[in-house]
Amino acid sequence: MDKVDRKILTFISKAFPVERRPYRKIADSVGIGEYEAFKRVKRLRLEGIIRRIGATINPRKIGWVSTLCGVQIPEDMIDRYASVVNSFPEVTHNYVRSGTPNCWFTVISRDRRRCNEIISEISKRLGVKILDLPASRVFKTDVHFRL
Amino acid sequence: MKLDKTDQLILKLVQGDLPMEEMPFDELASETGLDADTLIEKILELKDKGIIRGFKAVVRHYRINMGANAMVVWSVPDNRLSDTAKALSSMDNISHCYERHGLDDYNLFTMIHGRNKKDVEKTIEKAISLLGFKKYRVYWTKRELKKTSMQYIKEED
Repeated sequence: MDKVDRKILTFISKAFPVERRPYRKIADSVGIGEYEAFKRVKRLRLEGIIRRIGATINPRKIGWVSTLCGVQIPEDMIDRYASVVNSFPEVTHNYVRSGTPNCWFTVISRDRRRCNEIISEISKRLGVKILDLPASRVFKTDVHFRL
Repeated sequence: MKLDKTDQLILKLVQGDLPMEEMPFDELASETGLDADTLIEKILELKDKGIIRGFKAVVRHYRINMGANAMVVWSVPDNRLSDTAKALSSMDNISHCYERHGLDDYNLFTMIHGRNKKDVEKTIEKAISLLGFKKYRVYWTKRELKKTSMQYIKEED
């Protein structure tokens, strides 16, 4: 990955142009040709550096609910924990972290009932107590970085 | 907010991965009854309404050495919660800031990113000096077990 790739990534990770010829816009912003911009982005996608290009939807705006869950899992049970928790499509993020609790996952679902159902199902299958921490206010939810 | 049939169709198209074509919105539109200009207009409309938060490339940070990140939770007096949240949200290396309840008395949850651990620690120190209090806990991210995007609209919907 070179400097131009990084410039492109910085640009399109903030906003990918929603227009008929987006690669012309990207090209102009980094000073290359349209086709080269297209080829570079395609390569970055094929290499897996870009996971996806698309919209991020605000679940709350369409009536969905989300929550963050924390749970303490012994090190030798983490693989089993991951296979149970990750099997739910409503679980979008799942991380092992330092401190207690050491495992954290997010649930996004159609309504609160389904959310509770998922949490209690996971709790039952793993025999653990889960901390359910829905956000009462969202102040910032945006990721863009200089790359 | 109630979504009509067209909105649902648009969301279904844009929640996935944009086609790898030079004119990707033309390609997307051709999968539907819409023309590209209408599709683009509708996407921008949903963005104005806040239903679409952003349209962007999602980069795998660990693949390009974005280094370290941590969830840092803060215990903030109620009367200072809003101000503190706004101050933290304005910091570049803080990507998320939510009020949550249920983890002891930690009520403000942030995600802090940096090139390495030291970089993240610097941001934490900056936040502390900015806020003037320091009851917080740091949860370093050690392993990613899952990271996906939600498919809100399914085929059968």
